Amino acid sequence: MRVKKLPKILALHLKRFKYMEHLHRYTKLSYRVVFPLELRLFNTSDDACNPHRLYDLVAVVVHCGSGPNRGHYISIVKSHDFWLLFDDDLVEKIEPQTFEEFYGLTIGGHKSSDSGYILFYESKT
Amino acid sequence: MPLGRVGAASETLQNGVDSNAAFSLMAASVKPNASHDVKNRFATKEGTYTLMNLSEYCRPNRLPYTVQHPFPVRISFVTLKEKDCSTDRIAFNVGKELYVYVYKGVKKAADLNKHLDKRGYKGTFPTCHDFNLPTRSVEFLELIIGFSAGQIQLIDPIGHELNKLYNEERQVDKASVKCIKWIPGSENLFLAAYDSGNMYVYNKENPASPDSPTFSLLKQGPGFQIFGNKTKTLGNPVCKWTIGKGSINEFAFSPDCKHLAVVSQDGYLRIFDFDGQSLNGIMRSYFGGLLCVCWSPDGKYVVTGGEDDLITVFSFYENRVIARGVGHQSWVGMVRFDPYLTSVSGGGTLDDSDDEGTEQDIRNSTYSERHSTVDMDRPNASYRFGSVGQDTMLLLWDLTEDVLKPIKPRTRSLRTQSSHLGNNVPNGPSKEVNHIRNYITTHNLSSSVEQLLDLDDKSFGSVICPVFDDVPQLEPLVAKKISMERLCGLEFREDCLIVACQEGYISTWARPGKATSPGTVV
Repeated sequence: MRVKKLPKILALHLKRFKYMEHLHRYTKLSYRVVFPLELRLFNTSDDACNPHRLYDLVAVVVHCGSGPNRGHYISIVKSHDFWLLFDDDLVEKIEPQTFEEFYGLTIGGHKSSDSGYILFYESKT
Repeated sequence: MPLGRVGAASETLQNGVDSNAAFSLMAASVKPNASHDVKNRFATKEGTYTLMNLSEYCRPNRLPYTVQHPFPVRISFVTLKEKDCSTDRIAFNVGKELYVYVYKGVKKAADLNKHLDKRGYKGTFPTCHDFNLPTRSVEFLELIIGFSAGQIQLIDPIGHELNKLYNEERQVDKASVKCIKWIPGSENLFLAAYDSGNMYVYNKENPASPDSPTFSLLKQGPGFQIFGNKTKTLGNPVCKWTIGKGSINEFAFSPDCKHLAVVSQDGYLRIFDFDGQSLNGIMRSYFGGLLCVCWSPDGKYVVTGGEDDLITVFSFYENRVIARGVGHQSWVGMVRFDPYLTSVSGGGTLDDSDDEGTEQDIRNSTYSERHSTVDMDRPNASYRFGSVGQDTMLLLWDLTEDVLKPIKPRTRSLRTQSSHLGNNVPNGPSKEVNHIRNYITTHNLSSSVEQLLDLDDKSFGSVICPVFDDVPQLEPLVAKKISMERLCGLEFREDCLIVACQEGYISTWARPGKATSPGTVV
């Protein structure tokens, strides 16, 4: 797949669930997926009008829990150069160094995790 | 709220990302059931590298360190001269623990019950360390250790007498130490870089200031400031550098010890004249933070790895990106030149003049090599380097003349600037090459660097961050999945290469012809 028109807001949805034939149900995939604070796309088409757009990460939806049918959502949002974590009515300021907690698990990929699920990148230009 | 509901509601987005393997984000996952893919040998043009199972170093109980934490396992080596032979010591951190062993190489099995030192810490993680080379002996070693809460400790892992602490009360910096190294040639000075974007020079003999240190600005330039300690007496830290925006991830001294390459979370590689305190080179990642850096043994090139999943090869003399290495599928944790397979002049390799194989000897030999090879058209120049990353893969790269040949810079304005600023090349090249350098180098170019930096985001497309298709792309010589866990450490030794993974296993791969069969292991 190649991107021809690069959007102002790039939303990336990580496929964190899979239908397991032997279980006859969906399971959550908690595999580690790192996401940078800054992103350029490699897979742009030759005739894309602005193929080198530089994106900043501005928000992440995080799913907490062990399966696709239960759990909890929290979100991390960048606001005025600060990162805020929204957990229902709790809001706290966090440092980007702690995003490591939301990359997922390297071992036991089917266990419970707080893992980044939808990433929102905004073009700098 | 169930996860599946959102997934079903955004089916199109999901499919779009799913089928898109080219997104680097997507390829970073570590699949747990792929153990059959993990290699224990791989072939290169020089022969087959073999995993030496008995030369694996880890915690004495051999259990993996499975508590999740973000601090990479780092390895430090030191070679000691003992009677007629030389032996190695290895230090590594894993989680809240630090181990020091005799490193027995490829020929003898590791004895994990006989550690020289083992330390466990509470509330803080060891993150990086370095052996003091000038003061080393068989009876006494100085290992400097940086910690996640900012403290620094100096220990002797052999005699166990020495125990000094710096920034103990965290009054200097509360951030995590990211990289710590003795300043080459000095017995007393070490440099510690922090997650805060600061780095500090300490003198191991100076007492800690009782209060928070106060600093006065000594010098500043584009993207950096240098401060001195205002304490009248001998204070620690001696001085402070503030560099870029965000964490300093790694730094490396050039082989001639004059220059310091620093990579930061803001995506910049900055090369400083360390004593002259000036900015001499700059490069920008394709995107994201730069995580690791290494100098070529002759000091001409600097390679970096980062969150763009790329290797970037930077020519220090020409001050431009000359190639990008494409092959990693996730962030690149460490990149190192292989001095034993790098030939900087007429076919000679760096270890030809070096039978001892100790760190200082290599440093000296590369230094002399460098002086003997100032010509621009070395037909056989070839550099080997390796990289490891979160994709659990080891990649080996060859940098050969097809990308090394200098081209005239694309940016005419930069060339014009450099022609009158760029004469001050370190080590004074001979006159006949000076006129070539005049239009291809941009040395001591703080002012032109400043202009490049002022462009900030517009630096994209310039020599410091070229458009992707505008520089040659390197392909790895080999790319092998060699671990179940993400890789964070890499070291080349004379007869082997050593790789560290996040769970705390340090594996030894014998070079071609250096593997001993299991029966002969003592």
